[in-house]
Amino acid sequence: MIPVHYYLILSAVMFITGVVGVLTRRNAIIIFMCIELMLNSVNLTFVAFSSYLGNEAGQMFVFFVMAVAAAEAAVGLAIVLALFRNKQTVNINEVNILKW
Amino acid sequence: MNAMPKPVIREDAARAAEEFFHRFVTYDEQGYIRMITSCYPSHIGEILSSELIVFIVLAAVAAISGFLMITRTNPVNSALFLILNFIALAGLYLTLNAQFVAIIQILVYAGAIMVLVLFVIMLLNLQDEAPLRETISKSHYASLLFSLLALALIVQVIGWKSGAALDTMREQSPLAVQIGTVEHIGNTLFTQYVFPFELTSILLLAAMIGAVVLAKKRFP
Amino acid sequence: MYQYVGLIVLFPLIGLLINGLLGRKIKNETIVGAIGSGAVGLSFLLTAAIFIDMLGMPADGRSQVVTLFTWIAAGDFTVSAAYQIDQLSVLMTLVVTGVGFLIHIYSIGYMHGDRGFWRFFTYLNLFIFAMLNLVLADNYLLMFLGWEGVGLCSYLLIGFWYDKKFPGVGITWTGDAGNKAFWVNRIGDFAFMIGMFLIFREFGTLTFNEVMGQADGRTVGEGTIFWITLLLFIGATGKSAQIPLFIWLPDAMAGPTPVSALIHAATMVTAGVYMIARNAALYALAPDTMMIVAIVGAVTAIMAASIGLVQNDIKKVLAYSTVSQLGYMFLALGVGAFTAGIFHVMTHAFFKACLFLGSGAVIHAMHEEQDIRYMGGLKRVMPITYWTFLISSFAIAGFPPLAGFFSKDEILWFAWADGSPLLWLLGAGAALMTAFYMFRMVTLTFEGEPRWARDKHPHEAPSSMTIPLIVLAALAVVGGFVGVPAVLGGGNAIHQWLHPVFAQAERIMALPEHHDHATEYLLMAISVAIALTGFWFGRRMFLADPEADKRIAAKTGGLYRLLANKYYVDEVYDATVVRPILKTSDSFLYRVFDVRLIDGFVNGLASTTAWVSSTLRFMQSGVVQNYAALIVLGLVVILGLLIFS
Repeated sequence: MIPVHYYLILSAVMFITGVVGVLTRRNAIIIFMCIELMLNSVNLTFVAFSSYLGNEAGQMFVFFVMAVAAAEAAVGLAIVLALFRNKQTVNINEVNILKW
Repeated sequence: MNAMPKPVIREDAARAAEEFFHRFVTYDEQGYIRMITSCYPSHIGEILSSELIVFIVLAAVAAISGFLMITRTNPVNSALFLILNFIALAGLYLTLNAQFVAIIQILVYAGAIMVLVLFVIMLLNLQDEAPLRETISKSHYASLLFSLLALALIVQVIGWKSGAALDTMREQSPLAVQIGTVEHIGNTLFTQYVFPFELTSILLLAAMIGAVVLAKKRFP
Repeated sequence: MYQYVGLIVLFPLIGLLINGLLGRKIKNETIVGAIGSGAVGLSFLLTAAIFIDMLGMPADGRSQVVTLFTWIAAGDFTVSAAYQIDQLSVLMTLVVTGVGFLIHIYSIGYMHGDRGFWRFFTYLNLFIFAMLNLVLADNYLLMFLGWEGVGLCSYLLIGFWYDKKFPGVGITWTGDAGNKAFWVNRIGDFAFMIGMFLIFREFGTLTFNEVMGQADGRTVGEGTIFWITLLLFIGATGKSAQIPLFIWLPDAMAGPTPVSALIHAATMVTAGVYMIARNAALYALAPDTMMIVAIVGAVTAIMAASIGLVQNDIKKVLAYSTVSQLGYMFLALGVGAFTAGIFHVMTHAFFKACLFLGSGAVIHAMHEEQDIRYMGGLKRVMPITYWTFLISSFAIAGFPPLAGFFSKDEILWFAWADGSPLLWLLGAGAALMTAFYMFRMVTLTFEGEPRWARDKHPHEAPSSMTIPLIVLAALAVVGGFVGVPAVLGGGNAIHQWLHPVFAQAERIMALPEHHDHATEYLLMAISVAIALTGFWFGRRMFLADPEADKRIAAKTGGLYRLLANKYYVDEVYDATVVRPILKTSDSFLYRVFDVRLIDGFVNGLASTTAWVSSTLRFMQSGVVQNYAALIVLGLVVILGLLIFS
C-alpha cells in the first residue's frame, strides 16, 4: 500500500509550483490558473486524508472548494476582461496603481 | 605521486553510488534485479507494488504538467497542461477510492472551468509572452528562493516532524471504498451538510451577478 | 423603616434628573419648583419617619448600617455604598432635609423670573443629594464623594450668576469667587485624602465602624493618629472655613442668597464639624490635635467676629458671623464637647438660615442693594421680615431662652471647664462682638429713618418667602429646648440622644464630671450680661447716629482699617501664595516645561513618525507579486519557527 506521505508530498510540490507561478508570471490569466492549481493541490490533500481516515468530511470540503473555485473563475475572469478592456493588457506589472 | 589519491576517490564514489542504487532494488541469487523497492526513508526496502507504480506515473504526470504549465509562454499551452494536470489528479482520486470527486474533477474543472478560461484566452487574442528567462528579475529569484524554502520546510513537516499521527496512516481505511460512492456522498451532502450546500447556491448566485456586472460595465 | 434609607437619597437624585434633563423644556416655574422642593420634602418626611421609628428602639439598637450595593471591590479592599443610620447621622439628615426643604420653598419666591430657574433647582437638589451622601455614608470614601459633591455644588452656585461683577482681591466676576472657593477647598480636600490613605494604611479599612472598633486598642497620643486627625482637621478647615482656609467663605456670598443660607451657613460648612464628630474616637486618641482644633476654633471665632464689626455689606456681616460661629463649633469639638458642637450646628442652622433668608428678602425689597448704610426704616414696610430677623438676631446673640443661648452657653461652659479660661475668654469676647455687630446690622437695616433713594419702593416678600422665615424663626426660638442643661432643670435631651455615639470617645478621654454649679451659673450670668451689653451698644450707638462708623474710624484709625480690610489676609495670601504660583506656572511650567518639554516631545513624536513613514512608503510598490512574495516569506518564517524551536 501507499503511505499517505506520498500524496502529501505530491500535493506540496504542486502547491509550491502554483506559488512559483503566481510569483513569477505576469499574465493575469496564467496567475489565475496557478491559483486553480494550488486549490487542486489542497483538494488532493483533503481527499487523501478522507480516504486514509475513513471520514467523508474531506470529500465534502472538496465539493465546496470546487464551488468556490467555480465562483472565483466567473468573477476572476470577468475582472480580467474588464481589465483588458480598460488597459488593453493583462500584464499585472502595468496594474500598479495600488501604491503611495 | 599526486595521481595516487584520485582512484581512491573514484572507487569511493562508485561504491556510494552502488549503495545508493541498492536501496531501490533487490537481487536474486543470480544477481538479476528481482524487484524495485521504495526509497522513502521510513519505507526502504518495501516492494514496489502495482498500485505504487500507478501512483508514481500519475504523480509524475501531475507534477511535470504543473511545471510545464507555469513555464509556457503561450497561455493556451498553459491551459492545456493544466487540463492534463487535472486529469492526472482525477486518476489519483480514483486510486484513493474517491469516485465521485474524480468524476466531478473531470466534469467541473477540466470541463467547465478550463473551457471558460480557454474561451477568455481566445477572446482576448493575447500575444505570446516574452520567454520567462528574459523577463525574470532579481525579485523573482528571491520569490523562487522563498518558495523552494517553503517546499523544503513543508516536506520536512510531512516526513520528519509529523510525529506518530501520519505513521499510522500507512494504508487506506477500510471505509474508504464506501465513502467515495455517489450514494454515500449524496446522502451526507443532503443531510448533514445541507445548510452549507444551500449557502453554496447563494455564493454562486452572487458570483454570477458579480461577473455580469463586471463584464458589462464600461469603466471610464 | 431603616431599609428605606436609600430612598432618602434617591428622591433628590430623581428631582435632580427630572429638572436637569427636562427643566429647560418645562417652562412653568411652579412645576420645576414643586419637583425640586417636593423631592427634598419627601426625603424630610421619610427621615422623620425613620427618626420616629428610632425613638421607639432601645438606645443601643439605634445604630445600623444599610448596605445598598458593593461599590468598589479590589482584592482585600472593599467599599460599599452603605449608609450608617445612627443618632448623629439622623439628626444631621433631619437638619439638612428640613432646612433644605424650607430654603427650596423660599427659592421659588426668591428666584422668580430668573432665566436659570430650573438650573438653580437642579443644583440645589444635587447639593442635597451630595450632602446626604456625606452625612449618611458609613465609610470615608463615600463620605469623600459627598464631600467633593457639595464642593462642586458650592462652586456651581457661587458662580450661578456668572455674568455678574463681584469685586474682591483678585476677583472680578462671581465665577472667580467660585474658583476661589473651589481652589481653597482643594487644599483641604488634599489633606483629607492623605488622611484617608493613612487611615487605610493604619487600619486596613475605610469603614467608620471598623476603624472606631480598632481605636479602642490604641494608646492615647500615637504619632500616626495625630497625623491622621490633623490631616482630617485640615480638610475640615477648608470645608468649614476655619483659619487658615476661611478666606473663601466671605467671597462665596457672590451666589444667590438662598445658596448662602443653605450651603454657606446651614449645612455644607458644618460638614467639617460633622466629620470630626464622626471620628470622635480617633480625635480622643490625639489630645494634641484636640488642642489645635480648640485653639484654631477660638481664634477663628474672635477674628471673624472682629472683622464682622465693621462690614457694611449685609451678607458679608452674616458671612463673617458664620465663620465665627463655626469657630465656636470647633472650639466645642476641641475641648471634647462633641454634643455641644453638634447642638450648635443644629441651632445655628435654624437662626443663621433665617438671618440669611431675611437678608435675601431685604435685598430683594431694596432692588439688589446690599449696603446697610443705604437702608434703614425697613421695619415699617416689611414687618414679618423684621420680626423674624430680630428673633434670630437675639438667638445668635445668646439671649435666653432662645436656641443660641443654650448651645453657645454650653460651648463656653465646656471651654472653661475642660479647656482653659483663655479659650473661654476668646469665646466670650467673640460673643460680645457677635451681639454688637448683629444689632448694629439690625438697627442700620430696619430702624431709624430711611436712607434709600426715593425711587425705591420696598415691599414685604411674597408668602413663599415669609413662611420659611416664620418657621425658621420659630425653630430658632424653640430649637434650644432640646438641650436645656441640668443646672437649669432641663433634661438635656440632645445630650442623652447623642450619648451612645460619643460614649467611646468620652471613655477614652475620661473627662471629669463637673459638679461646680456655682461657676456654671456665674458663667451663664456673664454670658447674658455680655449679650445685653452688645445689644445695648449696638442699638444705642447706631440708632442715635447711623454714621457712627465714621466717628469710630476717625478715633481708632489703623485698627479700623485693619478690620475693614479683613486683616489683609487676602492680600497676604495673594502675595505669598497666589502670585508666586502664577509666576512659576507662567515662567517655568508653561514656557519651559509645557512648551519646550511636553510639546517638544509630542511634536517630535509626530515628526519622527512622519519621517519614518515617508521613508517606508516606498515599500508600497504597487506590484502585487511583491506582496505575495512577502506572504510566502512569512510562511517560511512561521514554519521555520514552528519546526526549529
